[in-house]
This record gives sequence, C-alpha cells and structure tokens, in this order.
Amino acid sequence: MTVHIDSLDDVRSLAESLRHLHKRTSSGTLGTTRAVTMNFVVFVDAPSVREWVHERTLSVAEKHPSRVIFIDAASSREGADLIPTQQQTVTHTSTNERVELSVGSLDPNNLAGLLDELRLREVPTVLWWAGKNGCDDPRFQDLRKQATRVVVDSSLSERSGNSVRSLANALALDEHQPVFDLAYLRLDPWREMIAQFFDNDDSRQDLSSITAVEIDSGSEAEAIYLSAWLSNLLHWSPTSHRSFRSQTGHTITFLHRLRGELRRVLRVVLTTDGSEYHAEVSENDPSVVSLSITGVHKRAPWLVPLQSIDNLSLIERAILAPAIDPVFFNTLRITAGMQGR
Amino acid sequence: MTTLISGTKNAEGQSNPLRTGMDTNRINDPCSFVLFGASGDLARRMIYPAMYNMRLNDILPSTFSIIGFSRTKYSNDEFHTFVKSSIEEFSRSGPPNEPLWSEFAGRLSYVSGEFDEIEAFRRLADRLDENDEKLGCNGNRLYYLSTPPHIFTKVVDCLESVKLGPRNNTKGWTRIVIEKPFGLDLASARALQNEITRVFDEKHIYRIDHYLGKEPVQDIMALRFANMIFEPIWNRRYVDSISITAAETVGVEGRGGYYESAGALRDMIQNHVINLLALVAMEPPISPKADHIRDEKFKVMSALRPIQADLVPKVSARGQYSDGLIDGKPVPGYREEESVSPTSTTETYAAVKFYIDNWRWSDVPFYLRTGKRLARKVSEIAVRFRQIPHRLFGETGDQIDSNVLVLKIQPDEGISFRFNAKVPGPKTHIRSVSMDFNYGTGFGVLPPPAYERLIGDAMRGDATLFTRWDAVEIAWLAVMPVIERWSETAPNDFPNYIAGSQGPLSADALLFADGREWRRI
Repeated sequence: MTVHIDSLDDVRSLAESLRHLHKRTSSGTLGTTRAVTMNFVVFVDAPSVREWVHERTLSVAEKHPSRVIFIDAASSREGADLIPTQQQTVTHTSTNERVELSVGSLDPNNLAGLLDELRLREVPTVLWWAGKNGCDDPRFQDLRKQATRVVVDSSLSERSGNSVRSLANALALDEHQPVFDLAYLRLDPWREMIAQFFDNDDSRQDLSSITAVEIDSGSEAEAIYLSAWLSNLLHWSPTSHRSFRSQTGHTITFLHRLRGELRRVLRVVLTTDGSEYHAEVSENDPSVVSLSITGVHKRAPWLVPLQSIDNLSLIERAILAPAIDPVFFNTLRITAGMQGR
Repeated sequence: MTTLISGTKNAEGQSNPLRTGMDTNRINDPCSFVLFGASGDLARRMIYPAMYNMRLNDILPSTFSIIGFSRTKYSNDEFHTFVKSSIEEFSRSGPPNEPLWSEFAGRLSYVSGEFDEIEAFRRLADRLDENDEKLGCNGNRLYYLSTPPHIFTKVVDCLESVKLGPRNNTKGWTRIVIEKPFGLDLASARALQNEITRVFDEKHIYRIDHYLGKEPVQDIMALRFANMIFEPIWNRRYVDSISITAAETVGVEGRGGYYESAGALRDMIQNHVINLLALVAMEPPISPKADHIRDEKFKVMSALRPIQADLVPKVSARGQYSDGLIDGKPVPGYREEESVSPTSTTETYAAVKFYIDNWRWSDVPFYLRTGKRLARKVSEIAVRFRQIPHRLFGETGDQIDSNVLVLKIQPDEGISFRFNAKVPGPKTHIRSVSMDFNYGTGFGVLPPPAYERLIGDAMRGDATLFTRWDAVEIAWLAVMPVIERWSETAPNDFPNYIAGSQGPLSADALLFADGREWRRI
C-alpha cells in the first residue's frame, strides 16, 4: 500500500496521491475508524538524532491518532513515502497516514508550501522542531507559521545554552503561539522540589534573602532555565550571565558547574543569609533526590522520588498542555537577558 | 522586563511564589493517615498499593504518616512486612525499591486493638501526637474506615472518647472516609448518619464509592457540558429512554457473608448505578465546585418518582445465578458459594425502571440493571433517541433504527454513536452504522486508579467525587419500596439465570412490556 514519489517538485500531485491513499484506507472494513487528533509535523536535520526522533514520532502517533508529516533533512536525497498506518485495540482498528518527506536541500519556501498542501485543515498542527541549529534556522520560522503549537528541545543541541537563546529570540516575534521546550518541561520535578523548600512560613521568608544559586547539570540549558525561573518568580533582574539583582538591590550570584550526563540536573543549592537549601541526586539511587536544609531553618534530610520523565511523555505533555504557559514565557524572556549581556 | 505574577496560595492559604503556574497533583498539607481495618483485604489489595504509588509519583506530602489499626496482633516490623507484600502483589508499579521503600516504611506504624477498646485508641492518640512531633504531620488527620459497616459507629465513638474527633483538634483538620455500604436500608443509614454526625460534621465526612473515582464516570460531565451539540437534545423531546448497565462476570469473590445481607440492589443500584443516573440526568451545575455538582445530583435524585408498592413487580426484576460457564470455565451457582445459604433468596441480579418527574425528563424511562456472573463485564449508559417522525427513505424491509449514544465506562472506555446511512447503490437502502471513539486510542493516557484519585482528593479536602448524605438518603428512599416488597415476597424461581448468560428472562420482560429491549451484554 505504500506509495513512493521520487520528486517533490510537483506538490499538487503529491497531495493528490495522499488523497487517494486516504480514500483507499477509509473504505469500508467494519470496525475500522479514522480518528485524527492533529497533524504531527516533525523536522529533523541531524543524522545523529534522526532515528531517535523518528522512533519517538511513531510512538506519539501510535498513541495520538495523527496525520504524521516527517520532514527529514538529514540526508541529501529527495522524495516522499506515503504510508498507511493502523493501530489496533481489542475492539477497534484505527487508520491514518504517515508522510515521510526526504527534503534534501529543498528551498525553505517550497518546504512551507509542501506542508501547506499536505496538512489536514480541520485539526490542529503540532510542529516538533528537532533542528540541529536550534531556532535560528529560517525553515523554523517558515514552518512554525502553519503550526498551532510548537515543541522544541534545546538540550538536543551540543550548545544548549545557545539553543535557549535562539528560541527566546524566535519567540520575541510572536507572543501568541504556544511553544514548549522539552528542556524546560524536563525540569518539572526540580521546580517542584525547590518550591517544596518554601511551602512553610518560616522558610518562605528566606526567598527574599537568597544570595547564591548553584546548579550542577550535564548541559547548560537546564541550569539557565532553573535560574531564570527563580529570577522570574522572585522578580530578580539579570545583570550578567552569572548574576541577578533582587528587588531590594542585592546581588544574587549564579554558578553553573558542568557535571554528569546531558540533560540531567544533579544538584541545586540555594544560599540565603541564614540557611542553605540543598537538593542532590542520591549517590545510591539516581531516581531519588535528598533534600535538606541547614542553618537557621534546619530540617533533617528527606527523600523525594525524582520523576524520570521520558522524552515521549514530555512530548505528549507539550501536545496536551493548555495553551501558553506564562511562567515559561517570562522565564524564556529572562534567559535572553541573561545571555545577551 | 518581567511581568509581575502573584504567587498562588498553598493548602494553608499562604502564598509560595515558586508555585505560580505549577500544574501539580501534589498534596501540600502534611497528614497522618489512619487506616482502620489495616489487616483486611481492601487495605491489602487497594489501599497500600495506592498509597505507595502516590508516594512514588510524588503526590503524597513530604511529611506524612500511615498508622494501621486492626485487631490482628502485629508488631511494627510484621506490619511493614504485610504492607510490603501487599505492594509486591498488587501495586501497578511492581515491587517496592530502595531507598524509597525504607523511607516509606519509616512512616508506617501499627496499633493493635479491638475497635471498641478505649485503651487501644489512647495508644493511637499517643502515636498521632508522636507523629505530629517527629514526622511533622501538623495535627492533620484522615481516618479511613475500611471495616465492616457494623464497626463504623464503634470507631467513631472511641475516637470521640479519646478526643480524636474534629472538635477537639485545635492543631489541624480532621476528616473521615467511610466505605460503602452506608447502611443496609434507609433506617440503618439514618441511624448511622446520626451516630457519625454526633462527632463529625458533614463537611468532615467523605463517603467513598470507588466507582465514582473512575475516569470515564467523570467523562460523563465533560461530554455533556463541554460540547454544544448534546445538551439541546438531552431531554424528553428527543430521548426515548436511557438504560444503565453495570454487569460483572465475577461472583461474590469470598464476600458471601456480606452479600447475603446486601444483594445486588443494595450493593450496586442504590449507590453506583443511581449515581450514574444522577450524572447523566442532572441539570448543568453553575460551577465545577463540589457542592454545586452535588446540589444538582441531589435535585435530580429528589425528582425520582416514588415506586408504589403494588407496582414493584411491574417495574423491577430480580435474579440469582445458577452454575454455568464464564469464559468457557465452569463456575458454581450462587447457592454453592462460600458463606452463602443453600436456600438463599438473595438477588445477584436486579433491574428497576425509574421515572424522573421534572420538566426535562417527564415520562422518559430510566432502566437500571446490575448483576453478577453475567456474560461480559460491561458498564455503560445507553441513551436511545426517539424514532424519526416521518419515514422518507428505505426500501421495503429496511429497518430504520433509533439513534443510540452509548457512554462506555468499562472496559474500552469511550463513546459510540449509532446512526443511519444510505447503503451505496441505486436503491435507497438504509442501514445502521456506528461511529466510535475510544479514550485509549484517542488520548493514549492511562488515568490513575480510582483509589489513588479518591484518597488524594480526601487529603486535599476535595469532596466532589464523594457522596453527600442527602444523596445517600434520597437514593435509599428511591429503592426502599423495592427492597421492602422483595423482602416480603420470597422468589420462587431462584436460581433463575445461568452464570454467563444475559440475566433472567423477567428482566427482558420488563422492557418487552414497554416495546423495548436491553442492549446485549
């Protein structure tokens, strides 16, 4: 049933082939339904992550019935494969299509036109951008114009700090488009743990006297996001890429130590005038974090399970999350300020 | 540069700015969870695995304790072993791992005693004080009665005697979770309510019905009130009838003693099934707040037409299963089950027809049925719409069926809609087709088990999914005429359906008399 097309030049004939395929798979088997919740558009241009991204794309589509449009710019060849897909449960068979486009060095304008022809109009379009150059790539700007929401992963890039910056710059152009960075979503458990320190009245007073933030992580994006998140919610202004100023005018130093695996945070320490708030991944079990407070608000260590959220779940969260997250949006703006100095 | 965002309030009503915008299920209030009936089957199968999974998913507060209370003589170590083995056997996340298990176990302790032994409750009070001090539980207490119903009042009395009731707790909040059944009839339910409310106010009481914690039950409201297309036709003008089915393939599963005094009507119709009826028939609540939803449920249950005693045989049917085959395997009849009398007249199947006397539902029959050892495990609500007023299409012999919207609760949670379409070809043949939506394939997200959801809600103080007393009372009022009539007239045809079948013929007759029929189980 798979249809292969050698050239992407004739966009209309490609769309026509897709419509034929759609009709063929729609017709008549009892118990077969067609359910489409979105166009899931995925862009990848690095051969090193192509398979990884492709595998997760199929997993997402398996759980969320979609028209998948997989744009592969990792190889130099050009062509399209139109592939019918089926998911089966005990009582249902659900059919869809996947379009795999090898776009080589196709002109960005043609790429946008291609997507415009191939996507279904009546469902939302989610763009998962896995481009190696972050969001500076002109193709990102072209594709995202057709997307109702955008998912990126700044940590995919070796220079993840730069990726965060390029996302912040790209977003500056449009404040109304829901955008999700997996590098930020991955930090949910850490944000929760840091918030936990300050749930009681006594410790909460310490929020205004934080003087230093130390973060150990395997890539820079996580540390930048966590410190910018604190800055956002505690109303600190970035004064350099390594310091903030509080509302009362005192300086907060930010230290990032590159340690451990990519995308993993190992340790966060917040120092205040009288106490130190310490969260560190357990040496015995990487899925547990030990939290403790020393100093004035001393509290015996307690353990918190570190929810290891797999990438597939993060993508799903980004797809299902309700619209724009203002906390993330403002955090991202701060990252631009941090790195731009 | 930054936009000012005010902090969100935590459970104590204070603001932690770092929680702004945080979408979390985590419970912030420290809490001691006291489980009465700690060595029982429900605790072992459901509650410990639920608590441990809540811990694994970081839903429990960072400061909590679990105290088991039961008659069984356990040391703390033996209790830990008991809890650990229950998690190993029944937890959805598999056996417990270190170091989290040790940390969890460090918060588990046990008090052994009779349920009316004041001295044991004093030991419990000491343990709670100790946990407040050492584990930081802040005086917040959630009591969970996982005991037989006749124990409820003993526990409540003893709690009050040692000043563990809410009126004596000046440090934090006190709540009590009570398992169903809430009474065995209207009189015993009222007596139980009077006893409990001597100590606990209604706002402290969480009557748990795990059925209402199931995700698809909550989806009923979303379907009705998050879509524009259903509400305009959700009334007597368009709806012909509504049937609600809760069918099981299992028998009494070792609970013969309890079931003998309950039966299908008390065990399922009075609580689960009537609650489904309320959700499907109520008016839109003004907000999703617990009391607004519960007000609407109560209003529609208040409109259930009282069943006249002499009409009971016409509007109800009962049955009891004999031996038969389930999934090709032989199973015993009800009377051969453990702790069941060989001449038992307890019904294992019940069907009742109700009417709701209000503007929306006048004269629309609601057919409710439940049974054990039926052909298939299925819970669903089928909304059958009226026939078209004038037939335009269809060749001779074509049957134009009514539209049916089915809300499938289990298994394969979803929605299906049956409508008529023209068969392709030169003639205008009309045939029924079905449009199906399946939550599993539609969203691909596994909802948490009902007990995790409900225990978490009780800890948060969210009573939306728990049953308020007025609803319990009105549900008893609705079924009492049937209970009384059935107890006065012993059935002479029991057992009257074969295990693995569709149920008794008398249930079919109930609908045939109205020119309708049940959907096949």
